[in-house]
Amino acid sequence: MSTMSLPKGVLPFIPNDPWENGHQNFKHRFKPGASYDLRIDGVHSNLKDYNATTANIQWVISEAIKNGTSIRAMGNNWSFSEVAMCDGGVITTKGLNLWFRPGNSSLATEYKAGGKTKEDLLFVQCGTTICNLNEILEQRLEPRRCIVASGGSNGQTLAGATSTGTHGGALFTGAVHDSIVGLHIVTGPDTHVWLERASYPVASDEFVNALGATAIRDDAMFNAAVVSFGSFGIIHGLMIETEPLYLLEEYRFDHVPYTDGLVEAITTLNLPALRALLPGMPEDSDGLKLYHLEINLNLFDFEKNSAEKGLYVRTFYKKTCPPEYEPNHDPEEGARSYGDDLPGIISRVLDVLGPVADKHLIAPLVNTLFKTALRAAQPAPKTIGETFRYTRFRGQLASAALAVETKNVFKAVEVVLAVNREHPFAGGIALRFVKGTQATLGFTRFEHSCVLEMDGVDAPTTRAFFEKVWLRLEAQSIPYTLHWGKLNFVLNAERVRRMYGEDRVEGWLACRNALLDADARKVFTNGFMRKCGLDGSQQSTVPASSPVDGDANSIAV
Amino acid sequence: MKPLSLHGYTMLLLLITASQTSCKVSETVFSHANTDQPARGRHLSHVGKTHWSYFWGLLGNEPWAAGCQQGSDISRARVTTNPGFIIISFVSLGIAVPQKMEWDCSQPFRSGGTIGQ
Repeated sequence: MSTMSLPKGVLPFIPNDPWENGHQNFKHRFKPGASYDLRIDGVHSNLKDYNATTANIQWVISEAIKNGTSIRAMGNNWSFSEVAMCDGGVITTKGLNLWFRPGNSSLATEYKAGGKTKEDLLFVQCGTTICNLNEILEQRLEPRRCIVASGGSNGQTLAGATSTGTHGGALFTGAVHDSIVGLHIVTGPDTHVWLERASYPVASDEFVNALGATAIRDDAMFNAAVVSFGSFGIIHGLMIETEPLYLLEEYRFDHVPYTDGLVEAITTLNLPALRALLPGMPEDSDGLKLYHLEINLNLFDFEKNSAEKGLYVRTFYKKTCPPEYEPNHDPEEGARSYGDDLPGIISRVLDVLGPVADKHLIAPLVNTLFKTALRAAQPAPKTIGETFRYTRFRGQLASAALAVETKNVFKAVEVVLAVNREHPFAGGIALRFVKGTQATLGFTRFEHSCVLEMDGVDAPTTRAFFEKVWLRLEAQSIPYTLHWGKLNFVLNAERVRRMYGEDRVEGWLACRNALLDADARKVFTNGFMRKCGLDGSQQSTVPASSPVDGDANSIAV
Repeated sequence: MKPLSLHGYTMLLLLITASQTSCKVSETVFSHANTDQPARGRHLSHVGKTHWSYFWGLLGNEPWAAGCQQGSDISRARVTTNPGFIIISFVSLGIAVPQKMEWDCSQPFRSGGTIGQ
């Protein structure tokens, strides 16, 4: 394409061929000449530039329609799955990091009537990373604010983290997308919308008019779009609700025996019972509130009722941030660590040695690396931005995450332990407890969700392990969902409907059909969606009587 | 076919090692985690050509432009070497030293705006 024919702010983007995702789990080929990089000159956040970018996105969509090409926005290329890939091209969004504070006249009357103020909101462009957002909120705004929830690391763009269901471990708060209260979505060459819940309006007509958008205030539509992995158009701007800056104080408990009492306390979220089992775990008070709960487990150094071979429990408590506290987001001092090629080398060794490696190599490997993989202790309270920092990209790592109802979490752990005995897993598992989401296809869909994360070296043996775990959960009728942005290759149309239920999937599809016309739907449909039956081309194949939340009659796939 | 001598095996091993461009040693310094491009697993967003310096640095290269956009600076820089580079540098006694650099540019640093009054 000739650069002379591109609008100002649109540059050609030539992805490597083949293109590799950031974690090097797959390679992909984009259509040559179909990708663009969107840029904004200058260092000030101007509405004029923001609206010009809206027009640029519309131009890209019109080109895609004209050329019969699909497109997808690409943030930091973080996802482990191909959820964000397409056969056509990409619009890279890392250059789109304008940010705006809404004035009082930008707030909906109902929002202000609820006691909220303009300080509670920030409007950011899609390419703003969580890291960037933390710096803005914690260091540059007055009064200082912070995000409500974060993933384990902060390199994702806000749009990407939102769209795939990045979750963290905020026990009472929810996932990253649960603090998004408004979306500006470009839906076609001539259309773009401001989308928010009717039950929780935040923006005034003045704000919507400033963007030049059409307002849609609809709970179902918002809940469908907020976790839609790029399928509902290009999310250009997000309104995020924030909190006054707080600190997170860590209380960690190593070598916690896995007992029936612990299982009961965790599965029922009985905090007094948990505190009795974890001496030193504080009680909630005015100045200290439990925020984050996480459990780590070494599958090769674990024994029930044994302290020495027990669990590692991490909690974070929210506490007031002193006015004089200065957050520091500077890079941390470097330490000796393993090189970027090590996971790949381990992967090759596992491939070559096969079952021999499984039996003799994996356990010592995991035991050696387990302690280094655990989050380092945080002796002093820090902000959420300082706590969940940038994770250095390591290639050829495999990460899979499944969500279960908290009451079922240890049944899922038992499945993992059993599969590990048959097929050793070159990695570790962690449990993070997250409040359930309203998002239609948010994978943290259980009211009290627990995300079981499995992180290891990306090798066929690891992927086989993941698949065995998933299939065993189904065989035992334990309902679960899979993280859209992590390894989830077992997903198909039938599974998605089983995981979320017919009503949710049909509702999501109906919203998409209502929001996007046929041309736009074609542009924003990719192979992943077709595989999952989310392109709208498949009818339900699951019998109406098939249960979603799991009972003895669930059909194993 | 005559078996290789010890010398031959040594040269073969050196050749194989030198040809393994994926076997690299690198050091990275970064000032900021943010980049203005999607992350690439193996490389940073800007990959420079192999640069040669000669005669122990007496003949080198002028600094070249990083290509960062306005409001953005280099956030991460990586120098890589590999067995081939090391061998060339050693064999030439430092007369010819190849080097390769990669770097990221940060996201532009923006001041905030306001929408509404």
